Amino acid sequence: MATITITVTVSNPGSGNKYYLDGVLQATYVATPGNTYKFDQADGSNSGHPLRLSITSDGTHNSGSAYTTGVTTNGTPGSAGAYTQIEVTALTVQALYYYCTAHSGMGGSFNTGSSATVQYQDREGFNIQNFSADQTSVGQLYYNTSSGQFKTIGTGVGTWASGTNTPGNRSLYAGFGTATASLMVSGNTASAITDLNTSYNGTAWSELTEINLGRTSMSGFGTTAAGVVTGGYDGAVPAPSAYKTNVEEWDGSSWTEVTNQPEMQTESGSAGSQTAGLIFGGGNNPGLTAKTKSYDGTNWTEVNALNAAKNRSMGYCIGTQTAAMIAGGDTGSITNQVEQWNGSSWTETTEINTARFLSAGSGSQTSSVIAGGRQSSNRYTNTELWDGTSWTEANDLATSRSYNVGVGSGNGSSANSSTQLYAAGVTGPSSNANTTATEEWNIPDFEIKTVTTS
Amino acid sequence: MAYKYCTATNWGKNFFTHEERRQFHLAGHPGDVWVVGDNLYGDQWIGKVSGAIKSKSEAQAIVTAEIEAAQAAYDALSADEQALQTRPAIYNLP
Repeated sequence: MATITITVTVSNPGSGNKYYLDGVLQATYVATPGNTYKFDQADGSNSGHPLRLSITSDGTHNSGSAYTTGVTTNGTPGSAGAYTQIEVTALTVQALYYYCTAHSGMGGSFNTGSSATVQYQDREGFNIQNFSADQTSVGQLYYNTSSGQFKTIGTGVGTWASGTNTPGNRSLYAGFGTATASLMVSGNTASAITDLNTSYNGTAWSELTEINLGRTSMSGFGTTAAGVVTGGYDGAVPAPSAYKTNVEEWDGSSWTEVTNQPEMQTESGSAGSQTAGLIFGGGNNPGLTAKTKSYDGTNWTEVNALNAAKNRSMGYCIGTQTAAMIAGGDTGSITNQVEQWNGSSWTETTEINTARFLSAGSGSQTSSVIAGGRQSSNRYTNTELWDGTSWTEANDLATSRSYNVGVGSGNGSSANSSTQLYAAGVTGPSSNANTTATEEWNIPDFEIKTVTTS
Repeated sequence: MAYKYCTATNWGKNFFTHEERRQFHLAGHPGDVWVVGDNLYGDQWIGKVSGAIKSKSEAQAIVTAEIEAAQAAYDALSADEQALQTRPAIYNLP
């Protein structure tokens, strides 16, 4: 869900004052359900011209009234911070009009949804309730007398689709960013550790400046403009000397070696930003560690440890320096433990259904997804969604995989449309081969299903 | 659930879409083997990706051969290298 700002100005083209939307006189605006539209009235020309929405053309000047569902207003038109905004959903009235509460004839049309949704959503349907749960409406049912079709409009179902293949196969890399702006740094190719630093824009992969110290099984956090890679090892078979404490920072164009970690901690979970990062758990050769360290952009500080030491959870990187999460991992046996960090301590919470390690995930403490991973020789396709309280089984990956990373704003929420990338890794379910194949998770805001009666 | 079997090379974006994942069962296996739900949409997808139809036994043979090759590669590793992985195990397609 995005917030789209529409800049509103008022000017007189010769027939009296009119609204201009993004510079277009009385523009007919077409909005998409799932987004919030903000009519920004900060420009001084808006003084004395409060904009509102109505199902009636010209609103109160034509015996109509203001439409208020999902609408909020702020400030005084003509002053900084003044706006009227509407959250457009599948159930928003399709044909709306914007108008000035003080003067007639200034506004225009604000249409939401496609012509298909207009056809059904401008009529009131029957609410559909979830019979097996509570009485909350989960959609609406409509009947089209022309086509003889029933249509249901409800929350979409999350699925994995194939993403753009990576330029070469990779696993055990550091990954961070969003579904449309991420980095896949270093890691293993089919036969060696690579220095490659590969970016993804949601459509295509491209190679950027390579990292100084190629390594594998490290942790990463941040964005494509300001990222951090830390730890890992640079030998195919990690001898003690192969483990690294090196830290490198990415500024969007190059890597810089900065202060090392105070001690070895690799294959850790990670979260946060370049100036407020966090690593937790992992290995310290030969054992496991529960240590948590925060990073302020310069120094590492040890803070309260996980309740249980666990390793190889680095692909499920959730949250921020003050609200992080770890799920699964290797505690000596493969676990389904989940812990949450509140900025000062870790608390155990509801366990994932399938114990696993080297899985991937993304999201936040209140809405996330975990997918793939492995236990013994089994590599999973299983996907579970977290809603802040419990885990729910969701549609599986098409191909099982582990040793990879999830990035993005991915979610377990049922009413979001965020996407995330689930890149490369080792495919399976019974192979040690790296893959170039990626999968992307998406939950549509809503979908329309048609049932034709006979 | 009834399945069809085919081989097809995953070209990446739009090889399978979100909508297709909602329309039929799809699972990838070693050797570019795909197990496809046997319905209209599954058939359409096999056509889209120019899938080569296989019988279940043919598909199983491809998967098994791939896993046996992976087992041989694993067996050739040193003990230290093997400790970092697991020996692939042969399994049966649904």
